[in-house]
Amino acid sequence: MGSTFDGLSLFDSGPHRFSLGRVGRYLRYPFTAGSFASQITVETVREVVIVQRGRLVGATPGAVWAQWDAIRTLAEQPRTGPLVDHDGVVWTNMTMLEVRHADRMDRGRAVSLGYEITYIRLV
Amino acid sequence: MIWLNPRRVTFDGTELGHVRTVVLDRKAERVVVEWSDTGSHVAFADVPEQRVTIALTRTVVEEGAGEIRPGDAGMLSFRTSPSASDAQVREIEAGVVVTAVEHEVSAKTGAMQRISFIAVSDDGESDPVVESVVGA
Repeated sequence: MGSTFDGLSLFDSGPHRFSLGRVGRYLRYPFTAGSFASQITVETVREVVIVQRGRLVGATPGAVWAQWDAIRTLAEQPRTGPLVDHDGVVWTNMTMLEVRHADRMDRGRAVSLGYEITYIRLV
Repeated sequence: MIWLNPRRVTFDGTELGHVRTVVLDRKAERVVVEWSDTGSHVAFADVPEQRVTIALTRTVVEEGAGEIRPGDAGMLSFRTSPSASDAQVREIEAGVVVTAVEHEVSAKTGAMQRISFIAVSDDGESDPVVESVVGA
């Protein structure tokens, strides 16, 4: 199934994958900056971080840039909403905070652009 | 692609004699391969950067056949046909840059010169090798 963010289907022109960042709690290690404790200190809950890596594909550079602009606009707002992955898993309250594109537009049989999106569930 | 005994081989306007073979190779210089979360197989593959190379082999019949040097640029052209007649003659042209000029001497083949080229597209998009029919 296709993936969506806040109900928008923005990524299905090309393949993409999701990876979940480290979860749990932040830990402060002894004798590090700001801590003279002799043991590990358990701090607050980590934010959920999901990184999406994929490729936008189109027939022309303009078609790819149009897709890119739609995604960039969401990151600049930034937009918060449910992220639904390929398995139908819903990650609620995710904020699209950063979008990065590859170092070049690829022009082969198709025009395509690699990208990386970072979503964070802000506390 | 390989052409045997091509005719009227010229580079940058100078005719190259005694050419035995011209070999054209196309290789992917960069391959984009992507997988998705939906399965194990490649979901997208493309070749956004490729390299066309041409190698010309000719018999050296006189001394001093070494005027061509790496870095030289020009149009490489030659004609070929299925037979020795003028029927179905095709002309192959390519803008090229010389990348190597090498020689080999053996008792079996005599002195051979191999000139290697890289084909250059006018605009980066169009195929650097153009083939046209010049004979009926």
